Amino acid sequence: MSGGYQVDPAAIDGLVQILDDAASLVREANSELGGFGGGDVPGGLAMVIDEHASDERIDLLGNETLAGTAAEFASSWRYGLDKLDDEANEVIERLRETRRTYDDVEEGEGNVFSHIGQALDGGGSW
Amino acid sequence: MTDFPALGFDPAPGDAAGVKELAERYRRISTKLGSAADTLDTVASRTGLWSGDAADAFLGNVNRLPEYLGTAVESTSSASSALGGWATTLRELQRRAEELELRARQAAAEAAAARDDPALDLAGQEFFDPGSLGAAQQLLDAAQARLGAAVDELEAIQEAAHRLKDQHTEAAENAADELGQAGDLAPEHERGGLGGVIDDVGGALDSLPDLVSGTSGAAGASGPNGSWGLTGPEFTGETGGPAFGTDRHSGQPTENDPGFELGLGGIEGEYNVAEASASGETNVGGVDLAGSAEASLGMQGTATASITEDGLEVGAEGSIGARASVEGSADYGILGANAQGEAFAGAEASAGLTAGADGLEAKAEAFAGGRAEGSAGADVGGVGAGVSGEAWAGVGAEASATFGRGEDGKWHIGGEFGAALGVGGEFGGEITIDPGEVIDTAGQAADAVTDFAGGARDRVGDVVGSLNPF
Repeated sequence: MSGGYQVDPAAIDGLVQILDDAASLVREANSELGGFGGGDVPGGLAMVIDEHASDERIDLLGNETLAGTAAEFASSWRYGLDKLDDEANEVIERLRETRRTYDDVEEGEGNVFSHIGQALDGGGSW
Repeated sequence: MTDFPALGFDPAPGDAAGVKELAERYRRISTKLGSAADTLDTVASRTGLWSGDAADAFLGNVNRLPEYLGTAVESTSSASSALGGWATTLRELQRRAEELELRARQAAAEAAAARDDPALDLAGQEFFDPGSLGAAQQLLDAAQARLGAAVDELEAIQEAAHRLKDQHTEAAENAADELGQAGDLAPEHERGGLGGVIDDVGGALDSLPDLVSGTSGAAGASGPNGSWGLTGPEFTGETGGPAFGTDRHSGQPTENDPGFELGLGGIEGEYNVAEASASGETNVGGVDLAGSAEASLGMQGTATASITEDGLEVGAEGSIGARASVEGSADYGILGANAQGEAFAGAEASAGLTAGADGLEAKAEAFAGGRAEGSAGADVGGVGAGVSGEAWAGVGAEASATFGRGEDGKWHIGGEFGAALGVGGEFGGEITIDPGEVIDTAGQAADAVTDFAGGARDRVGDVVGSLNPF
């Protein structure tokens, strides 16, 4: 394979941790925003998220135009942060999968050489 | 919320405290996203975490995330400022609204009092003396003036309240504009902006699996496919086809050697080869080869894979050696075999094997040396001799080109071959090579080969005969 590769499993773990930490922060931010799956946020923020006009939202911000803009803003960032969170989690999972693959490879190689070594030592067939 | 009965309407609607909380939330969101960006920044500053093409591509994408998050930080921070400013303005407007409401209430009370002033009842009454008329007129005028002033005050307050409402609307729309500008950076507002960026990130990350799996494939060379684990006893000659080989004339990888031609593919090919080896069982040859192992060369024994190319599992074994060779395979999967050799006995010998014009198979045979008569079997498959000779060359100068097929089409091992064996002895140190035994072993190997090749026995016999330089 051109290019080759070299992996430090511990480094992958570190990378996963970094991404996990970042994703957690993004999730918390999204939760503050009134985030997905998190239910309504106290303080009237959640009602600002609805893209559709609502009396409650207008009551909060005091102006229909401003309420509409705020709703659009929140909705947009909900999408953005949700997307970032999803992507981060996807990357994390793939990195973990990669790590598991390398672990399997390491174990597999060990078994192979063990078999071969036994054969050369006059041990069982291989 | 304050009621405005005197004014009749709320000149500054909104929940200033709620808006302030919203602004503070956006501030916290911005701070968290900033922390996330800072956290991801540490990825870029890390070196040596992961190297290789896939890693470069992956980290290149990940390292863009802080920039995207930076945009989110800017956007939410601006939103916080816009909403915070609006909260402050709204609070002031509402303070003024409350004042107006108070004034309006007072004015209304004054107006009510003025309206109820008894002096107003003097109007229309008759007086019989000028003094009484003058006094009543003064009282009436005062009451009417008082009532008029109260009404004027009420009207002034109403006008002020409406002006305040206009200011409220203007300020709110300014805040909306400011918030809108902050929102322009948000995903759904500008697909070419962060929205596009996020999508790009998603796309880039979507490619991660391929990149990573590609890397895994490389690892596969290491066996990500579990190849190694599979390698071994269970494998049968039938399942393991000739995973590698080279054209006897051109020396180029054969079509059925994708692994060698392609980095990753090569890996698999090698993997398969390895499996073939495992099947050593296939050929009892494996057992015979055990002796070979002694020949040591251990790994070379593996070379027997060449036979596989002839359609015999034996050849598969050779593959094993090939497996490691993957590294060497940089150009040819065959080289991989060398790698394996290293694992067992010292790689140099392997290198020689690679050079074989007939391909791996030939190498294997060359190696097997006496045993390799099996090679003879290979001969059945048409294994080239020159290759073998080179294989030994790898082991030592003396071994070079000692093993080859003569013009008569039979295999021949010259004195150099013997030298090669000697060299082999040096390898193992404990290796003892008895020419006679070697021949016997070769014969057994040939028998094994025959079992698989069928009809090869006769030819093997010829080869064995030609191989015996002693």
